[in-house]
Amino acid sequence: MNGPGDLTASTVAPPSVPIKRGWPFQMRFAAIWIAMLGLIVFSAIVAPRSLLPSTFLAIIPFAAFLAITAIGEALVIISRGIDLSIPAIITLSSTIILGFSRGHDAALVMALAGALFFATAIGFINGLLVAVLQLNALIVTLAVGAITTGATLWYRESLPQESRVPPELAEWGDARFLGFNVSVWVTTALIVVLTIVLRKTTVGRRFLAVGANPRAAWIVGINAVVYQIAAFTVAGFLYGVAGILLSAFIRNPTLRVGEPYLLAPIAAAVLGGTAVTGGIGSLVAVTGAALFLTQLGQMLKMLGLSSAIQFVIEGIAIAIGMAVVRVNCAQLMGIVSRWRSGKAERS
Amino acid sequence: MVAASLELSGISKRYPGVQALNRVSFECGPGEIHAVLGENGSGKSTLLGIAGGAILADEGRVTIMGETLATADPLVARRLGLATVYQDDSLVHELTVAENLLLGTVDGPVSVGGMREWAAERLAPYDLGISPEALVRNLNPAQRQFLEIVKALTTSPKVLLLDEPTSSLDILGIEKLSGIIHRLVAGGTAVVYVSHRLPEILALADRVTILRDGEGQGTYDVNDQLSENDLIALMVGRPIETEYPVGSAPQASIALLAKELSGSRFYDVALSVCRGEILGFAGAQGNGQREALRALGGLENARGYVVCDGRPIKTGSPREALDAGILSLSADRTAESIFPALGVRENITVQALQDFASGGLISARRERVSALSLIDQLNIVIAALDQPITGLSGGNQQKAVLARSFLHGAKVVLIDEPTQGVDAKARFDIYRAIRAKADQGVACVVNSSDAMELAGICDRVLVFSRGRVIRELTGPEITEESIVSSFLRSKEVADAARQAADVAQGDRFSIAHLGRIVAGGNNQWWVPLLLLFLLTVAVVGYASLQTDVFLTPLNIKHILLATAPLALVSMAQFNVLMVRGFDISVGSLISLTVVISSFMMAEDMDTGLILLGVLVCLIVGIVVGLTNGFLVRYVGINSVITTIATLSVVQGIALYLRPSPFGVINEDFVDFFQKRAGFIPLSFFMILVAAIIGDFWLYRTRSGLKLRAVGFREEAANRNGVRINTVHLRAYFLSGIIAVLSGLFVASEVGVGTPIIGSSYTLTSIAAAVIGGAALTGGRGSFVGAVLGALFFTLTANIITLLGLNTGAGIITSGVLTLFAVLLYSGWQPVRRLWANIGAAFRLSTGTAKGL
Repeated sequence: MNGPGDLTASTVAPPSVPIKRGWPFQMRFAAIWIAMLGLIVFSAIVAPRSLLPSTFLAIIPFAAFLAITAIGEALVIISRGIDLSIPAIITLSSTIILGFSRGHDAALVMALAGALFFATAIGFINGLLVAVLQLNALIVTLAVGAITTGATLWYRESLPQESRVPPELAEWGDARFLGFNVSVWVTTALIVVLTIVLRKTTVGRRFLAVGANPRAAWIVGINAVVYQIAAFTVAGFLYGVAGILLSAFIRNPTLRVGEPYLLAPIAAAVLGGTAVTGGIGSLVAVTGAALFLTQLGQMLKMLGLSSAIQFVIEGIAIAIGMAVVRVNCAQLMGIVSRWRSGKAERS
Repeated sequence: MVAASLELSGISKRYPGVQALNRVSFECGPGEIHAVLGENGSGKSTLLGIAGGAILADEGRVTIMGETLATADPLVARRLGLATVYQDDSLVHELTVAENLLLGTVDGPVSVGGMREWAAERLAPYDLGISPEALVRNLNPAQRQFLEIVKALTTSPKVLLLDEPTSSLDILGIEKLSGIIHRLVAGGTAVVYVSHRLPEILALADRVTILRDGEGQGTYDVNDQLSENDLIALMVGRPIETEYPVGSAPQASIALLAKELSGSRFYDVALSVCRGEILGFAGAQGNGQREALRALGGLENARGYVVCDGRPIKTGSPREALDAGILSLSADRTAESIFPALGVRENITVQALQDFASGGLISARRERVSALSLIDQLNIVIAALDQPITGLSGGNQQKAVLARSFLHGAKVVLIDEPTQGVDAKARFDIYRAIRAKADQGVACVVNSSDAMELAGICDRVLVFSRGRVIRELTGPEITEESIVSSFLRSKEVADAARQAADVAQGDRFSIAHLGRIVAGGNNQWWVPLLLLFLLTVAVVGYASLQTDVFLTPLNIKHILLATAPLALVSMAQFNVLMVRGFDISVGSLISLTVVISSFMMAEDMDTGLILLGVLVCLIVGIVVGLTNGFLVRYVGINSVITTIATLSVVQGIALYLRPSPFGVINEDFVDFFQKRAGFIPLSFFMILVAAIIGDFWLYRTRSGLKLRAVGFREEAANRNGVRINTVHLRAYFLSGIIAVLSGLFVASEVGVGTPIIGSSYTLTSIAAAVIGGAALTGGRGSFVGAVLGALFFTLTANIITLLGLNTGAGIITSGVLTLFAVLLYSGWQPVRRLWANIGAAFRLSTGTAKGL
């Protein structure tokens, strides 16, 4: 083997500056937690009731649903795509639960498997169209979303108007473990597993490399197309999970169950520091952003403001989040180059 | 003495990691041909860029015709009388010859209508055999070069800058060019001529200024006393800063062998490299040496036979090459080597992750130890191991990339431009590293435009000219002078026969040609319109056979009324698609317009108030559009994210104002929008007329020409002095305002303030514009196409309702049609490429089996 040790030591000088072990502080991921702190302080002043433990326990399942979808969206954005098919996939999976089980516990496993399978399959189709045919991700996910919605609508009409999820699932959806709703634990487990994959495994590292620079990844021998397809597929699976948890929680999901998940996951992903230029993202920070947006909504509600204001604030938050990252980098580079040229002049 | 036409004094320019120019001065008088000579990377192109106002100098002054160029602005330089002929041209390849010529002129007397005759007149004196109507894409490189020169001359410049004008010319072309130049200088024009072809300079120039590593080496009169050798000595005599590493003798066994290797810019290349040997590729830029190197690593398509370590191999992709033991390091560090989002450690170890992992889990400790030891040995200067790679200097980035090859057990390492944009100290670290790699028994192939570097590190050098290996230098023969002189003195000219063949192919008209046009999709403006027309006829025909209701006046009225808002919003979207953006916020703008209408144009209001309401809606559209444009262009946020953010805000406001449908809209207002002539709504005619006017603007005015140029190739548009930011901002502005008009139609149709009615229009607006010929890559399409696309979508929806199909079927159809539309005009390219690659791989493998 041509190990690094074979290089003759005499030809190179040792480094003059000791190398620090890590790059300890990543502002883009920390920002959301700082914002969270600000929001808590602000909530404590204007709407202290929104911080009561009972309120917190009531809203945290919604934070969990948003977090799961936002993680899926973040994975897609890391691979340089964007996914607008989330509402369609969530609605599809919840409708499949109703249709496959017909409200009976006997077919529950079948129903859950079906929901996950179709959600994953639609993510896979998104991935194929985007990565292999190189079609625009925005249009593909909107169009595949429309097709999915149409099919769901069709399928839903064959089911009774008033459909409920099987009692066992409903019971499970309401269950608490160590004080928290099960959806919180499912979400936590997914975040831990995916974070480990992303940060600690060869697969995760190659995935980040593909997102950072697909062409360079191709040159170092990584099959970029496979990783891009995988991003959409895993995202589809996660939306399926969100659909199941959401159905279990609200028991009689309608065709509008997915509606809130078109823009909010994008807002959470972007606020959590995911770079739309690809390759950068922290699933933990994205989860923080999901908590932030949920608490923000709760606070507004307690202040008696319409939920519509939440949309306005989300939009402004996306724009500010993006602008801050852009402007910061640009300014930083400007300062560095000015400092350098100043130094060059002095010397 | 006559005042100089162009004077550069004390010009300095620094790029990160490299001083491109250091206090360079020269002047060129009227009627003078002044050559600027220097090796690759000596700063010639930067100097021209500064003189032409395209690049901002750090220091120094540019004076054109006695006036100082105050800002770096190509338009100002042009107004002062300077024109530049760029090496990589400033032509928009998707536009015609005449359009390109017009784009290069300042706004003035020539109209788009009279453009053809005008262009023919311009072209006539040069006898180039180019038709004004030909697409620039179909011209050969030499014709493009002359077109670029003709374009520069349309402004009758007092100073003409030519950057490597002969790189794509054959001997006849060079003669023709010198004829043109002599005529110009006879008329008093000052010509600055950048080249690294010595025979040309000695034949043509009056004086020559020599650059070496960004330093001026003086200006000399060209006369009989000045020889090629003198010039070479001035260009190359760079002091040697440090000793080059000396290697042990290469082993006898061959690591890599290639023969009959041909590709896009190289022909019939044969070579072999031994273990432990460093082979250099030399040549003037653009002579095929880079492409040949990239082909060996699977980065470029090629035909021929490659053998690595005694086994015939396929190099269809980098992955196949890597499997065979060939590792490539690209010259384009930003685009093809580094992973900007990742840290130094991750960039170093990316190609050897499996060595640090067990069961897929990376051992952070082993990875860190490995990375640190390489950082130590290659002398990479970093602040922290996980610092982003983009924070390193060019030299340290390059060392980090080079470190990858030390972790990978490749038998052959191909290095393209190992020290481009690297400072002197890091350069020698890199040379030592390459030599160390060779000493491990690895064969290294280095392509470099720096002859001294090749002379310093290579055991053997192949010199390329016009895509062929023209000389092999070994041992003591390898000196900087011998390398440079073997390609500089080469008078070999471009393959005239090949160029002629290119032209013939472009001109032939046949069924196959027609097939290519249709398969090429929206390259021709009329193809999508024709296709759409045929589709519409087919659908209408089918529907009228299926149901009698379809062709009744009532149904036709219904269809045309429903088309109006979609047609408008598609036109809105098309504005933004033209400049390679998306406007996702159009749907929410429609919703907000409907909501505002339900307040400001309520049942009992009079005409004055209604007009005020319309005005408010339009102002909202303008504000949203300009916000989008500002965020995209001046803050630099991607258009999808920007318009998603404004979508959220606008939708939120609409929902806040009307949480649920409420508020009846004024009857008079509704009637106004539903006015008909017979059974056909007037609105449809109005929109069609508006679309035709829009297309007239796009295809028959100078402003439309500029817009298309920005859509096709922003950089070329910029070089032609188009105000790019204004064009983008205008696109989003128009999109906002037209979306509001669409909203007014929707309001007249629903009659009630419905807050989320617009959301379904977003996807369909893109789909209708795309099926009407708009390309997501910008520059193509038409307003009429967008209107017809909208009509087609509305027709399909209508038919599905009439046939009594499920509403789900309607939604599915619109999704399928959308996918069909994007696949139609942009999807076949990758499919075709995939097929071509499979075919090529097959040919290569069978060829290899037979040939060896």
